Amino acid sequence: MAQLLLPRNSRIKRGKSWNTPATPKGASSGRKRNFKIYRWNGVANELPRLDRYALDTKGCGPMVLDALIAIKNKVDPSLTFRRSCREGVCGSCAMNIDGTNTLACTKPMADVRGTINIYPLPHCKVIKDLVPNLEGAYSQLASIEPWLQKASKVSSKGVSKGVERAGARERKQSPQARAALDGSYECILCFCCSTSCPSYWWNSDKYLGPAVLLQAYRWLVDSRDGAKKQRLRALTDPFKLYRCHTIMNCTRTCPKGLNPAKAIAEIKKLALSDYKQDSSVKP
Amino acid sequence: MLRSSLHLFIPHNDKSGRSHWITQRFSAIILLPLYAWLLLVALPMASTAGYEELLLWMGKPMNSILIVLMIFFSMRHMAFGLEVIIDDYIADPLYNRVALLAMRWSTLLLAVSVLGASVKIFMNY
Repeated sequence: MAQLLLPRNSRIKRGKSWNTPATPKGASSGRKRNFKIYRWNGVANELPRLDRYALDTKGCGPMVLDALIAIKNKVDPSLTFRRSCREGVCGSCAMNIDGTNTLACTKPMADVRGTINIYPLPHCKVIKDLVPNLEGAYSQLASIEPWLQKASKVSSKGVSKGVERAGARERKQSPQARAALDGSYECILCFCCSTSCPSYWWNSDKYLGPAVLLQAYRWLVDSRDGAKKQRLRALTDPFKLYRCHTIMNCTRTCPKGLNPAKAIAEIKKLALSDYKQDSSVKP
Repeated sequence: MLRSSLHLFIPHNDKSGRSHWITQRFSAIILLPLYAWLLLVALPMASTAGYEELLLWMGKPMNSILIVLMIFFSMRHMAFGLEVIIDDYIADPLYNRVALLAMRWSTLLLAVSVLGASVKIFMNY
């Protein structure tokens, strides 16, 4: 049954106010930006809080991640968040900034008017502060077997025939076939899309979510992959695939400008074309 | 595809989710011309004609058939949509089953009552 009341520690209380250390006399100060940042220290009985920071942005880079690093270095070393590449490649710093899931490293502070509100990715269990638990999403990604597979023929005795030794033969791909992967291979698995999807919020245990389905599509359209049918049949399930109700939050929020909703629609089309073959298969 | 269209008429256990998805789109496409007829022909007629005149109009064979088709496919389409909503929001297997049964029987009862009324009007007028 739908849970009508939020868990006790979902109520966010007012937190502390932090200020950038005073500028030394004679030194010029930059523009002050105000931040409200979600804080929770991982203690189950404690309520999360919203801390307020006033940061002097002089000498600080233009992105929200630069500000977070500046806050951690100069103001509050206990602030916890993930970051790595700081240029939109690794997907570590995915968080909810100004009401939208995005990457802190590619989100300019100038894009946000007034106070910058920062929360962890929505509807995820929080490990600490801005660090969400993405274990479920990663295990769903593993379930679609995101690697190149060779088609294997199984003889009547159940012994695989014709399976080549790994790396024995080059698997060539034409530029046209390679172009089919454009728009899906660029995904950095930041899970901004999945955690923005209401359908994924309600059924994240069963629905694969846009990020994983985009990856599934990436392998379905790879001309070198030999497991298309098995992949498609594993996906055609009322919950794994068909919980997508084309809400389109995924496409709107993707920090890489990808279109997971279109990829899901394409998978549904592929499942239709596979329908005839599927009808002839006896369970 | 043919098997899927049969599912429009016969509720079935769809383990892949694909038939449900296809049939929901089938019923939506079928409803498009039927609702165009409802908005452009039937509702203007109902708003201007008197009671007896309206019953006479509804008793005409073509109008009776269109009303029955519209109600049947509306109920099927509604049942498909509500099934998705129930599956989305009611995770508990027992509550889910009860809600699905209640929804399916209510839509069936509604469809049967409209069918009965249409047949009665057709026979009497």
